[in-house]
Amino acid sequence: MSNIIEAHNISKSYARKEALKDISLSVPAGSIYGLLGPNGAGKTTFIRILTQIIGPDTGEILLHGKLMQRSDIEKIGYMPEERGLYRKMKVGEQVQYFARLKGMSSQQTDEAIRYWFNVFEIKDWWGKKVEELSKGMQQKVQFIVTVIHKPSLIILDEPFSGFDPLNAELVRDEILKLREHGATIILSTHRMESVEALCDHIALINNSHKIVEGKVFDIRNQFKENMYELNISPGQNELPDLGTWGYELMSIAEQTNGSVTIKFTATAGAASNDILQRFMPIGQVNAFKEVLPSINDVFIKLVRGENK
Amino acid sequence: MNKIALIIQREYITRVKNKTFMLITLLAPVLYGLLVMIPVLTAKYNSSKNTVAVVDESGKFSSLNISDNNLVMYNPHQSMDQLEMAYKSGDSDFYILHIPKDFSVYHPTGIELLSRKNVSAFFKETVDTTMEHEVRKMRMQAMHIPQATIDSLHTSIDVSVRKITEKGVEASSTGATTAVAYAGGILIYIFIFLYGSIVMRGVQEEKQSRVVEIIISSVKPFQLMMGKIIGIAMVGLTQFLIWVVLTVIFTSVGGQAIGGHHAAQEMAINGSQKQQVIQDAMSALGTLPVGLIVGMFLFYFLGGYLIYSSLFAAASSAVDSQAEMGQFILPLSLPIIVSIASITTIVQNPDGHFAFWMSMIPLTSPIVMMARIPFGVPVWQLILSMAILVASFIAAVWLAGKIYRIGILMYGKKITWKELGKWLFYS
Repeated sequence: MSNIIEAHNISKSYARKEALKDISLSVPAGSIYGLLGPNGAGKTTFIRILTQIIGPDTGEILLHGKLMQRSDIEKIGYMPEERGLYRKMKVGEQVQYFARLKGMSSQQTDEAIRYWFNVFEIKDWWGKKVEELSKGMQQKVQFIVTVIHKPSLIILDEPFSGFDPLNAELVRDEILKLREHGATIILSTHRMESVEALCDHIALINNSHKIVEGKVFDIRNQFKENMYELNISPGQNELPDLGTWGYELMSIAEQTNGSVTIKFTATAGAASNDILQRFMPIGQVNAFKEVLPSINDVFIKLVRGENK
Repeated sequence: MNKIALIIQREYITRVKNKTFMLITLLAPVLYGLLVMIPVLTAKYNSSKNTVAVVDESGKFSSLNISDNNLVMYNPHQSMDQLEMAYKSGDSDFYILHIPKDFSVYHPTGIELLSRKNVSAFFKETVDTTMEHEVRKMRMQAMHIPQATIDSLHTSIDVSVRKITEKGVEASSTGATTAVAYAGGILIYIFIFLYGSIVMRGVQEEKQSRVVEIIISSVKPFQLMMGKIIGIAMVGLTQFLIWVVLTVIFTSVGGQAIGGHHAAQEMAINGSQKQQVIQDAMSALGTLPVGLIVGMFLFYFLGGYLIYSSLFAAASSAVDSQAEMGQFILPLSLPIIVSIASITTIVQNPDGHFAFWMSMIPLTSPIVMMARIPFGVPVWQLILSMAILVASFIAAVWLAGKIYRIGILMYGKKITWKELGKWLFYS
């Protein structure tokens, strides 16, 4: 898979603060890429550089391997975290205006509007002013404005904030559909759990620099800590003291059916089959799985390690 | 379609289609018409006369009895004490002019004007003049100058002003020229402030609604700012054009109605003398360089507007709310206020040093030059002033663009002048 975006050594400082420190990223084409990190980490600054709202102090951005040009912004759809529309303008005219600003002809615009107003079931809203719409409705319009010109790169900053669960689901589906049609999507959020399942690739950003980047599965695997979860029905037998095996018990919970779920960390390098074999004589093993750390866990671990 | 053209189009259409715009545009000439008619109507129907009871203890003014449009002087045949009693007790609304017993025509002191309220400077002067006139008459009578001679000394002269041009000597009217000078200066002032503040609010609206970040991911901040400024300028020009047309229609139709009625009345009283005056004024107005004035009006409106609106846009982009604009608005609008305040001085001496320099400084030149043009300005001065204005608005727009692109993305921070200065040097 080739990369749609390659950022090389991007740095950016404001008057009193270094916002980005030597960040390099590669966003594979056709992926859903998560840009994750706490508030103030530098995500928005990086996105603003991608969208050419501001320029980096040093470094360069390549789009499809070529230095990004001013005209390339027509290939990008951007939904900022702070959503905004003209409150007094009618929905239809507004969407038209933004589409035209992205270089669409008026005929293309009309067709695209018809399609999207259908998808989101908002055909009656054409003549309504934005200020008459609820927050959730405004978000739909905002999403349409972002994607109407069929951008090959879609950048969504905190995409699910402000949507109720139903509309969030709708947007999630549309994001997946857009990827199917070949678009690359960059999601930026500080709520890592909300996009973990959606992203193929992620980059974790903290304190102005990148701390890790890669496929979601690879990263979780890379930071696994030999943690396992096991459900066993011990019958008359007693559970052994895991400490004698050199394991560390994390949690234990008795289930209503008499079985017990335990979570533990095994000795480093122990094979899962060996572990399972140790439990089999004690009772009926109902479930056994290795627990990979969540991206959130990885992040916390990395940040703690960094601060030490 | 060019993106900046799209922005101009949006700024223009959303404003012109606005109901308030329509209403103001249509009502303004009506209001203007009323404004013009108010002095005429009040002069006609405002019959409040100032009554002065003259208590003449010297006995020298016994024949004083004046009654004209706004002043009545009479002898109440009452003593000072009696009048004061009436004053204290009742709701009497008159002045008392007290002339002491020892009043001398050759040392005319000691006259008092008594009143329940404070006396206006204008009214005091009227009384002063009247008394001076009376005293002068008495002195002449004392010299045994016959009444007929005294009457024949009373003259009134109105110098007729003519202007020498290439075409020869033409009629001119100081009144008309002065009126046009004031009107031009004040109109520019209103237009610059009106449309400058529309730009300011527009920038603030985009910043507050956060729509700006979406737009500048499609166009450059400079394009957005210029699109807004140009679009709103076109709204202003449209409004101006509509007003010109409406004013012409309104005054010609209304003028005919009022003028006709008026003329018939006047004719009955004192023949065609007054009509002659009006006709003179109209023909004098015709000798003013109307084309030049209108052309220069458009030029100085656009130039002044571009400077001020781009500075307002920059200031507005740097703050989070209209309320925080204060610290920038006052210093920015000070020059424009100074120029409107000095317009009387300029009109009194349109060729003086003060007028010259004020019409060169680009922040004051739009208003001041408009006040000078009706009196005639040397061509080199006009060209120099215009060139300075053009250079300045290019500089202002450039400067504003630098501040604007940083300011519109800056939230939650109190911006100082020093901070703005730093932004100029960001890459």
